[in-house]
Amino acid sequence: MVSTRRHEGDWVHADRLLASLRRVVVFCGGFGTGKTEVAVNFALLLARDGRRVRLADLDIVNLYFRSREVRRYLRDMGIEVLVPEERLVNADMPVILPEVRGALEHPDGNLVLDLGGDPSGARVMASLAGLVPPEETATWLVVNSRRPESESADAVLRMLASIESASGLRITGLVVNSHLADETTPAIIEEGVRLAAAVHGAGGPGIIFVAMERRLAGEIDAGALGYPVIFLQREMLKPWETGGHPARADEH
Amino acid sequence: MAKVLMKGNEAIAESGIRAGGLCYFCYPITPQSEVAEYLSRRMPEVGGAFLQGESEVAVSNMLYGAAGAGVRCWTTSSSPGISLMMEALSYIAAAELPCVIVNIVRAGPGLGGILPSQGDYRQAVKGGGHGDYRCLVYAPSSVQEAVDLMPLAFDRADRYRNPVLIIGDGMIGQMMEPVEFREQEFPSLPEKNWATDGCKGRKPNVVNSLYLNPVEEEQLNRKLGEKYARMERDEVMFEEFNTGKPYRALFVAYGTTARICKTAIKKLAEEGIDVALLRPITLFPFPSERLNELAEPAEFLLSVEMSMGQMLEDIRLATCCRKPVHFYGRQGGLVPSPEEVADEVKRLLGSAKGDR
Repeated sequence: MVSTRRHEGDWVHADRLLASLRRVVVFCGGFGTGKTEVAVNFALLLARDGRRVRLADLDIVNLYFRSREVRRYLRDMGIEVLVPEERLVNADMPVILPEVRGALEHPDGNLVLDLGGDPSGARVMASLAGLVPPEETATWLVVNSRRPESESADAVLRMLASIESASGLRITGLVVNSHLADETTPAIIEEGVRLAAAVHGAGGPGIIFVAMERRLAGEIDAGALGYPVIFLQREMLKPWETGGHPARADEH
Repeated sequence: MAKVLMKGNEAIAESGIRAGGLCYFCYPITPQSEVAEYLSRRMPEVGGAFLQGESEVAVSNMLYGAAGAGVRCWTTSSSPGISLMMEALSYIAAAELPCVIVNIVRAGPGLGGILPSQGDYRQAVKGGGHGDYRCLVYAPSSVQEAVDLMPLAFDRADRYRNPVLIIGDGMIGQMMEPVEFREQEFPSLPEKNWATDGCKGRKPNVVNSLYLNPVEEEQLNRKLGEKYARMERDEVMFEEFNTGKPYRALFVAYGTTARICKTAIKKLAEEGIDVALLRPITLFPFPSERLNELAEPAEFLLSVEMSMGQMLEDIRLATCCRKPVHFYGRQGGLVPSPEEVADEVKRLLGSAKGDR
């Protein structure tokens, strides 16, 4: 079921990226930056690389398009998915699983945490304060230059500061996921890299990797961006979009 | 302005502000609360008014008052919240006041669930509140269309002095799509000389819907009836898809299910089966005339809904039951897949030939 062979086509500069990897990886960021798509793809990538991976859906802000929607697919891919029990999976209330606490303390494998958007989504981490070992944790802010509140490096730094304040975490890196859904162009990805570089230049953390849809791989020289790149297979699809994997509706 | 990626609810909120909807009342409910959240932040920046009421009943009566005072006012809610507003909506229509109400529909009946649905079609189109009134009803099927319809909704509300509804299933409110905010031009509107905005130097205006004289009440009903007839004549909006060549079946679908039908049409075309789509953009007025024309070459019509077939009656009326009208839908918050819809077309075509 799970291949242990590294798929070279999945990423660029994989070794550099893996050097930044910690046991716990937290994806946070502004609302709608694509954290879930990145977190799901990152977990799949680690699983395909032969690692033991757990993914926890900690999104207590959003209601649709959460990683729990693809939980069966992820489980089929060998990822342990920590989401509320089936009867509560669509409940309109903030459920934080006790299993997440256990996973944070669990010494082996990688734990990927997918937070909800904005400081309000990151606040869930405050309830886990003390359980997250700083030296074993990478906290990455996902940045999309096409979101209205990511209009400048200053705006991104403000978001970063307020997420750090709400979550109690220190953000250690940036993930560039600049996109406009189906209308993403190479120019938009380059714009996102420039924005993140400006954030770094203004005192923010450095760029860990750049994420882009696989369909763009042929249109952009990913190696020339100068950062590790992950090619995304979109999993969080809208009901009329084809691709991905079937039977999502029946996962509810 | 460059395109940005926005969630439907945020985009509706921003477009409402840009359309001059600077007076907004709300009570939060999933899956539309992001509109309120966004506006609670933005309204102070643009000098508008944001007020969270103690309930949807309060909110809808604030709307009645603000509309009576002649300001561009609006609210957003979701199904159970909209039900609570129905009494005031009837009063607002009776008093001939303009306002915009956005319903991001969730699964029902009752408290239902937070997932997307189209189960409020009848409530929106046939009334919902009491008495002989109607609302102009727009049903966007993308975030961009929702953005574009907001200024139109405010304009038509003012022009007709009538409440305008925008209904989107939960998907329209919750999904993220690229949008741009485009300036729209409208002819100038008549002065609101009926508004209760201070009567220094003139006779007071009165906003009321109580008629003790049946003759006057009848006159109001007939005046409203003429207004709704004008909407039916002038305001119909729809989109056609794949109608330019011969087709065997015709989908009728709005909002999210129309997009699912488009994917199904592409899948069916790969198998050599041509199907077309009529997508009503206005649910009232319903695009009856065009639907009747498009039904002509089709073997049958198929209404695809996230409800139990609430639009079927309007389709049958529009086509005078000349063609079989079938229904395929999912309920409860489930969304039909393009594969399910395409399979239903094939099943119906098969059974029409008698081989099933």
